[in-house]
Amino acid sequence: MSETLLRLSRNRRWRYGIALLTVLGALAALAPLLAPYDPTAQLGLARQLLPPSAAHPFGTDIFGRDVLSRVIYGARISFVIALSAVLLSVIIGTSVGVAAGYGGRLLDGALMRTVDAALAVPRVLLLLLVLALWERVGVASLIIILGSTSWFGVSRIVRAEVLSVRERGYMEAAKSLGVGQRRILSHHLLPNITSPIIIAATLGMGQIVLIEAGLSFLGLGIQEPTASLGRMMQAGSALLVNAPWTSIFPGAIIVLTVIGFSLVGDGFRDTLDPRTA
Amino acid sequence: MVRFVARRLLQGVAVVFLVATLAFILFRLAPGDPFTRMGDASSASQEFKAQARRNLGLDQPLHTQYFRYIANLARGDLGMSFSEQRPVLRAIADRVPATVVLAAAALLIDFLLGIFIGAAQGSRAGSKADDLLSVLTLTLYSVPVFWLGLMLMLVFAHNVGLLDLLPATGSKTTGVYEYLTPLGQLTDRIRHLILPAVALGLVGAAGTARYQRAAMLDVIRQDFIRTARAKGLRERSVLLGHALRNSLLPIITLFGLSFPILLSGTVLVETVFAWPGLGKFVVDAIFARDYNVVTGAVIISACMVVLGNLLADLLYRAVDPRVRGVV
Repeated sequence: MSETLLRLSRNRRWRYGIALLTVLGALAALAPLLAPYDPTAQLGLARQLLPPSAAHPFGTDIFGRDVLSRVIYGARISFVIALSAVLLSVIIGTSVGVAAGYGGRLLDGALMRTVDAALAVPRVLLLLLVLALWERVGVASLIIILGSTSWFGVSRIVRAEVLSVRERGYMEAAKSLGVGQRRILSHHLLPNITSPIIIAATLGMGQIVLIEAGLSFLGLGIQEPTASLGRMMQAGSALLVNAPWTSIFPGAIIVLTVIGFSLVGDGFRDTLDPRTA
Repeated sequence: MVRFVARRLLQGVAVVFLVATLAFILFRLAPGDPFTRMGDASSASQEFKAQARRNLGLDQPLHTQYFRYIANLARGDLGMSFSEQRPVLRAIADRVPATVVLAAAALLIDFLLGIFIGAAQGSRAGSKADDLLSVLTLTLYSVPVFWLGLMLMLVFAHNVGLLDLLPATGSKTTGVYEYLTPLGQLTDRIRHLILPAVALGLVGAAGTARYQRAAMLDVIRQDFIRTARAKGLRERSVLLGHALRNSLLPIITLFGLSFPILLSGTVLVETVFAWPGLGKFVVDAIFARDYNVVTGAVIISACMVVLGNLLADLLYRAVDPRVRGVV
């Protein structure tokens, strides 16, 4: 394990990515301490749509709220959603993938055909259908909706890994020694398929950040007055001429966050995946 | 060949059938019934509500509803659009061309630019230029497509941007378009197409470039490249004639995989640029509570994905002689 960490720390992309995510993560985690203003406080008519200045580095929005504070709180929500939704999608995807790869041909066929169908629907449209039917959703339900619609890819990766690991010698050995089914799964199978899961999960987080922003931008994700980066850009898009700062900064934070996840994911792939190394 | 296409079409029908079933299940899992969801029914009389439910077939048992839904679907009946007072299929058919034009233009930018950048990087891996382009593609890859659209507007669009070069929204100039010459109409449409297609295409190109770079590196390490160099071919023809040609195979697979992502992108880009396509229609339909349109769009887009994948497979067979024998 420590040897892997050493190899990772030698990977330039991984280092930059971790550094970027640490800064952004700290910003998100310490939002109440770092944000100069209350993100939902309307600071009065005289402070509406102020351009960036010393008092408001990112300016203010149409309700006179501090954009920097809202961006910091928005990043916090994006992080919470990305981490939780990916955790959920990895749990579901791994379970389905293991079941498909280990559970016999009939189950495998049924599960994988369902996954094929789900992958044939553009993800944003699938989410639009779900969000349209359930209407107003909170952060928790958004996490569940995003997590339960993002595991298709993971399940395919896991299934492929299971199929290849299943045939290896040590699995045969464990079986012939009389090791129980559950112990084989938890001690022999899962530890040997973690690398591709980690890679998929890291890259998946960047995707969730983008998708959540897109849904909020369409007005279907997190609702006002909660600060959400996508929602801020939606409001900002109507003020592109008069107050471009209300849409520039939330987007820039998203770009940095996704770059961070992509760099770390690439670093993991370079280091953990022997096929590309 | 015919057998291959027939088989893939049959598989495609199965996928679309599963998607339709998925949509039906989602519809029934959601809170409220389809009738009350259509709008405020609190003031309607009991008799009216009961009649409306009967008309919609909601008084039938669930499996009967499901079979009727699938049977209608097989006949191409996706139900009525309540906001437009006409069949969903016709309302969608009016929007599909705009989305196809936008998606095709974006794909062109995506693959031409992506392959060019990726191949340039792959043939000079490790150089300064490679590093710089990697930073560029990584950044573009991480940009929300709708935000890129807004930023492009901020720079290039009429009345909004710094440069005032191109129209910001719509697919043609309203009030003027009808009086233009055919050539003028075409120019007008292309000018409207540029910004949304570039926004969608650039984000895609970043992903394609990353793939193309890796594919190029894979090929360059192989023996036949060494042979080509050893027999004294110029580096140019080694790279273009041997390396690039062979590195394009995995990219065709990527072409097939990119359709769902592309259609997801059109939903956002069409909303930003008020492009009158399927994506914008769906978003409008959600706020009008026109659920048949949303379900219909999901099913139609699944059909588009299936056809796109078939196209990619056919392309693959045309390019790679090794796959032709295998059905």
